[in-house]
Amino acid sequence: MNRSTHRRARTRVVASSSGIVLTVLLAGCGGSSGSVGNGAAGGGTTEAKGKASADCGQVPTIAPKDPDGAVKELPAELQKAYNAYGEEVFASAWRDRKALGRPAKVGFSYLPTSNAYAAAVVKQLEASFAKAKADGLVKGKLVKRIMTDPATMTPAEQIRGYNELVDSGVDVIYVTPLSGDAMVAAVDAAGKKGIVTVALSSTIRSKYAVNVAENSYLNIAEPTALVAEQLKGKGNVAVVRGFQGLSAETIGYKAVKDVLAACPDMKVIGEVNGAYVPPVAKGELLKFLSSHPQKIDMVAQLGVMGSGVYAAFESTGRDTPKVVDAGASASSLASWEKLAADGYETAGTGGNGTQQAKAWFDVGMLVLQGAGPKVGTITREPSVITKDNLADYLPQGAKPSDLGEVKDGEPWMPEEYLAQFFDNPAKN
Amino acid sequence: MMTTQQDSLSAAEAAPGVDAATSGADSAEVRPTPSAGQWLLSLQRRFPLVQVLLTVAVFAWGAATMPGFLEPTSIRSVLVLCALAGLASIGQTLVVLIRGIDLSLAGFIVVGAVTVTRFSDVPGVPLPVMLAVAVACGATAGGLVGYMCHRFAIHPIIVTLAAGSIAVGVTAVLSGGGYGAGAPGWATRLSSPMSSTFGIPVPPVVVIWVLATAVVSVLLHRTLPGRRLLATGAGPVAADLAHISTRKVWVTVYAISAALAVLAGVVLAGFAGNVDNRLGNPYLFLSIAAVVLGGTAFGGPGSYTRTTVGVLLLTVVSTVLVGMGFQEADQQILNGVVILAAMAVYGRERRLRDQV
Repeated sequence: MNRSTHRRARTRVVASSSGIVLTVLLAGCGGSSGSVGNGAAGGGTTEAKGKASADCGQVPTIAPKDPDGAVKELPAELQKAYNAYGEEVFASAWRDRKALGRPAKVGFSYLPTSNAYAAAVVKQLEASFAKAKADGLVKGKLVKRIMTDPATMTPAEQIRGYNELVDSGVDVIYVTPLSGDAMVAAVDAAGKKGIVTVALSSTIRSKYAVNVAENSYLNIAEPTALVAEQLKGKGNVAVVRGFQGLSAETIGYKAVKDVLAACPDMKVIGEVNGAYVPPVAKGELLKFLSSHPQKIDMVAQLGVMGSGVYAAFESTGRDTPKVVDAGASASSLASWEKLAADGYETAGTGGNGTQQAKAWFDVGMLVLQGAGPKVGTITREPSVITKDNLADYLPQGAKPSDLGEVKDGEPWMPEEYLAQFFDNPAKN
Repeated sequence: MMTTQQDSLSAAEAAPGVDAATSGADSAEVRPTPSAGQWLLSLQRRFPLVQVLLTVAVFAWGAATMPGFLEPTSIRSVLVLCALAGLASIGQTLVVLIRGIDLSLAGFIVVGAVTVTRFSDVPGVPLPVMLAVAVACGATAGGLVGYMCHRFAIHPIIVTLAAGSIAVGVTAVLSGGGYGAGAPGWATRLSSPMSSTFGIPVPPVVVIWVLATAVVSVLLHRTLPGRRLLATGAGPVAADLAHISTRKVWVTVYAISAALAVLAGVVLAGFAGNVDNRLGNPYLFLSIAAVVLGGTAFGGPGSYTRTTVGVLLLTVVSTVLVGMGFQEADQQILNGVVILAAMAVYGRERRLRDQV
């Protein structure tokens, strides 16, 4: 290497080394995002009409976005389930659809079966299909397009599979969308061909989709409000967020903000990102706890990460705070029960894949039989778990390391409940 | 153990004022003393000095601004996170050193994790046997990946991506879609920050990581197979001419990478407590980031010790950022920019070396 080459190399290495230093420092000074406690704007496009105001420990009342007046047509008791619903609730394009009059061909588009919930959904849908086939409601095989790898799946991959189902001539497609918004155009196109789409868990904002979903807002707000009440409106709070950018996560985050906004003595000391994966939540919380030695009274996690939260606190030997156990699992409830002997109390929400898939399939069959859905989104008030009904949801002998789902507890959407959302439910 | 292929290059650079014609027996008499800057540059090439200084600086920043950061439990927690990422990055380091990349890492981590959670109580088959089978299967699949990449000149991104998906799929089929009853107690204790090792208050996974670092470094730089691996990465054509079977190296390295990922999955299952097939995903990006940030270039020079520095820097920085309330997006930006910056340093350095 001659002198000039060496000089150039030295300049480059020095400049680039400085680049690493500057990069880290600049990133470090890039500004932290607003936390719940500082009143940062949130919610984005899902901001509901109406003002979130309530006393500490109460769930705010926010009118749902009901452009077609479909929710207002429902019985008053059912309308409560739509409080603060995060997305528009349309009237259904299938209200006047006539009965199919023959066995239906059924398609199924689903996400990777990466956890006990997903496995239960797939198993129950197959069981429901087999039963419907025996009853003469469906024919052939269940045509599946299930993505395999959660690391590489994309909305585009799911839409491609969905369109293959459309081309295969199915009458109804059961889908859990990776992105509800991304699927709107595909669902509209299928709907114009007469193909019914029934979505579980995520909402597809199309009149041709019938959505069967928990109310993402209430699912977080109700247990959070209960825990705030248990703490008498005082204490430090950490928030464990899910996969940011997903509609349900944004809505759940807004629910935490709204509930805590009414509790001036509850201070949010920080947030971590758990990505809806318990081990990720545990790892991120360990980092958080390393720099937050103060007492934490509540951890508001935005769904299915309760087991990771409990594990993080247990592994560091710190006192376990009240964990908002939205989307509880056998593992998280077992941790809760283990602490309950010492007077530990918190709140969560239940429901499992088996219950939800059964209701999901029934809704599709009702639509095909011409029952006439009154509304495009069917939801419910969450099943809240407290110390009084913990045993109803905790599987017998469950341990904190268990992977299973919670027991049925309260019926999720039984037939009589679903019937209220249809004009002619008896046709089924 | 920062030995790299660059020793001869560095020696030549230490005497920039001396050309080949004047060097000889009396070169020692005319060789000027390198300046402090040249000495630091030379050191940076052989040792990730900037990264170490940054790690210390960020750690000191955290200690100064965040109460509790220096608590023993906090430090143990950070070390556990480092150890998990470090163990998951061993295979990636080896693969990068031969100019490859391994995206199947996440899939093989799931294989190991499911083995220890789902198949730990199969009647008549002890867990060590099940683990040995899983490691062997992983190594076979990894070796096949290495063979396909080398034999058919297919880019490893494609083959390893497919292999990872297949590993997850086969695991799901064999386990019947379930992920078992959770990790056994011994696996959980390995990575618990409150655990100790033979009475020393250091979690076992950290001790394992330290030992692994030493073993990998010795094997890589002080043994014939290790030097063959480095030679294959530094110059495949030259390695072939030197009668090194580069195909054998590729097959072996990918087999080792997959086998180590399976073992890392066992430890990660203990940390996670319970397993699903997303368990390995965070460690895929982390392993690549740690290797690149540590200063190991594709094809070398580099070492696993550099990766450990990359792991320490990434973990300390992310811990401080989380502690200061930074969000996921901030951390993602940071990770991406840091990798770009590291590539600016080491990617350029490799091109310069190739021109010599």
